Amino acid sequence: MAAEAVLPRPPYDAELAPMLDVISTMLPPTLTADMLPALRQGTLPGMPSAEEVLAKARLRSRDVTIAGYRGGEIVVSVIEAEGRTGHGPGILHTHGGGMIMGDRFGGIAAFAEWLHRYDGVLVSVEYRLAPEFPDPYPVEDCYAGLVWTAENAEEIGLEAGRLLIAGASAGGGLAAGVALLARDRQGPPLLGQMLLCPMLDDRDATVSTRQYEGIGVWDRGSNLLGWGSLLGDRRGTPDVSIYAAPARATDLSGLPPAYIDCGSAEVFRDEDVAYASAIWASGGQAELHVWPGGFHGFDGLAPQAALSHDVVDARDRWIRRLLG
Amino acid sequence: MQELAGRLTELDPAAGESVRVIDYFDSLVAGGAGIESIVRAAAILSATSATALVRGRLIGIDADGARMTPAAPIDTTPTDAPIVWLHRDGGPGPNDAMIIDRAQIALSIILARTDPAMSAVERLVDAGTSRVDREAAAQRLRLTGPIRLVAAPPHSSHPVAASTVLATREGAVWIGVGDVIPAEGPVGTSVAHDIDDLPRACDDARLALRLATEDHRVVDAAELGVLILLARTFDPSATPHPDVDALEGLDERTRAVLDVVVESESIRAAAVKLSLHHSSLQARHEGWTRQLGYDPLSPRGRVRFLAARLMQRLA
Repeated sequence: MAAEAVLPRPPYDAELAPMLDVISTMLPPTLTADMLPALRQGTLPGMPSAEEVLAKARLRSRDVTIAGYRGGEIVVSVIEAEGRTGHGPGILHTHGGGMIMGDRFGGIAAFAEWLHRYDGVLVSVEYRLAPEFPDPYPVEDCYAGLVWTAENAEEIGLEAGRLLIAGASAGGGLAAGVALLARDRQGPPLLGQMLLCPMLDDRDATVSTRQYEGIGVWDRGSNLLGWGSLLGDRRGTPDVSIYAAPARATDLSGLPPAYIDCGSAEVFRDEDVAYASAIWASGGQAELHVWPGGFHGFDGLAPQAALSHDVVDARDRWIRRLLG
Repeated sequence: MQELAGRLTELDPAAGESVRVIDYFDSLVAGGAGIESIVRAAAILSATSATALVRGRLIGIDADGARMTPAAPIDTTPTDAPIVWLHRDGGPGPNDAMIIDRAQIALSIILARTDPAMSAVERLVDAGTSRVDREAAAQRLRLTGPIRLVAAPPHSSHPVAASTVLATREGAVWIGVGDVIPAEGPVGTSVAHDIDDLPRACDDARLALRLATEDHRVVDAAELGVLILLARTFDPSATPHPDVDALEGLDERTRAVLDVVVESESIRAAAVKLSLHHSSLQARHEGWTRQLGYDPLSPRGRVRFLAARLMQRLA
C-alpha cells in the first residue's frame, strides 16, 4: 500500500464529532467479513430490542410469510398503531445494513409518528442478505414485498394509490431499485420514494469514497465489503443492473418524487447528490438535503444532536406535503 | 443501527470514563461549537434536561437534545460566569457534578473567545493572518521585541498579558502571551523573535506542551535545541519507527529508569538518583541493549533513546 496524502474533507459537525468518538469505540469505521456474525447478532451495547422500540412507539406488529424471489419464503411485518382499525397511507420499508446485516425492525422508530398521525400502515421486508443470497435476491425480495403490499391493500388498511417506499443506507439503495423495477415492470404505483443516505453506486469511484476511508461510520472499506458481498466478481464491471446499483441508471424519468438526504461527511455523499441531479436531468422531481458535517446515519446514531433534529423536521415537512 | 447514543449516558466514572466527559466538552470547544451545543451536551451526558444562564439569557435543552422552555432555577445569584443546572428528580447522578463543572468551563471559554483581546491572540498566532492584521493585533496587545508564548491545557489561567483557547488537531489548547514562564505545569513555551515568528513559536510551544511529563512539567522549546526539528517532523499517521516500537515494548517502570540512566553521567550516578544499588542497575544493562536493539549508554545510543522517547511522547 503506497501511502496516499490524506484528502481534505469536510469537518464533522461540532456536536457530532464527540458523539462519533463514542460511537467509534463500539463500531469500527471499517467492517470486515469476520465481524459479520457478531454484527448480525445485533449485540451493540445500548441498542434496544425490536419489542422495546415498538412498545415505546405504541406500535403493534404482525408477521406474514410471503413468496420472495424464485418462490423462496420471506417474512414481512405489518406495523401499525396499537388498536388501529381504519384505512390510511402506507410505507413499504426496506431496512439498512449494507446488504449484509440488519433486520426488518431496524430504523422503524423514525416512521412511528407518521403512522399515528395519518393512521397509516408500514410493511417492512425481511429480504434475504448477501453474501449468502447475492444480487438479485435482496432487491427482488423487496419487490415481492411491494407486490404483496399492493395486492393486500384492503386487508392491511392501505388506501389505494397512497403507498410510498422508504429506506435508509442499503435500504435506500433497495428502495431506489424497487422504484425502478416497479416503473419498468408496470408494477404497483408509488406515491414517493424516501432515499435516506442511500447506497447506490458499486463502482467506488467518487471523491467522497476516497475521503472517508478508515474514519466515521460505514467507510470505503465497509462499502466495498457490502458491494462485494452483493455482487461478487461483478462489482464494478459492466455486468451490474440498474436495480442492484441505481447510480448506473441513465434514464431516471417516470419515477415517483424522491426525497434524498445524506451527510457531507460520508462515503455516499457524491453518489446521492449525483442521483438527485440525474433525476432532475431526466425531468423528474427530487428534494435533496446534504447535511453539513454529518457522518453516515448520524440521525439514527446520534438523535440528540441539533443537526439530527433538523433532519427529522425536514423529512416531516416533505411527508406533510406528500400526505397532507 | 439506532440509538447507540444511549451509550453516551452510561459513562462509568469508576471505570475511568469520567475523562470521556472532559474529552467530550474539549471536542465541542475545539470544534467551535456554540453555547446551545454545550447545554445540549450536558443534557445528553446526564440523560436529563439542562438549563444554562448565559449573560442573562436562559437556555433549556431536554434529554433528547430538543429545545425546551427553560426551567427557571431556584437560586439565581447574580454573576457574570455562566451557570448550568441539571433537573433531576431524586439524587444527583454519578457524573452530574463533573458535567456541570465542565459545561460551565466550556461556556466560559466560548464567551471569552468573543473578547477582543482573546481574538487578537488568535490572529497573532494564525499563520494565515496577513502582516497588516498581525501588526494590528500586536499593537492592540502592546507587544514589542521578542514575545514569549505559553501553551497549556484548555482550562488554565496563568498570569499573562492575554490568552486564548485554540482549537487544534490535538483538542483545545490554551495559549498565553507573556514574558514569564509559569512555574506550574504542564506547560510548553517558546519565544518568537519578532511578530512574523509568532505562528512558529506557537506551534513549538504546543509541541513542547505535548512533551511535558510528571517529572518535567515545564518544557521550553529552546531547551530542546535541535531536537525541536525532530519534533516538528512528527506525523501521527506515519508508521512508528522501530526504535519507538522498542520503547513501547518496555514497561513504564523500565522506561522511567532508562530516562534517568540516559540523562546521568554513569550507571553509578543514576543508581544514586534512583536509590538503587549500582550493581543491580549494571546487571540490567545487557537486557536493555537486547530489548532496544542498541546500547542506550553509548553516545549514539543515548541520542537514539532520547529521540525515540521524544517521538513516543508526541504520539
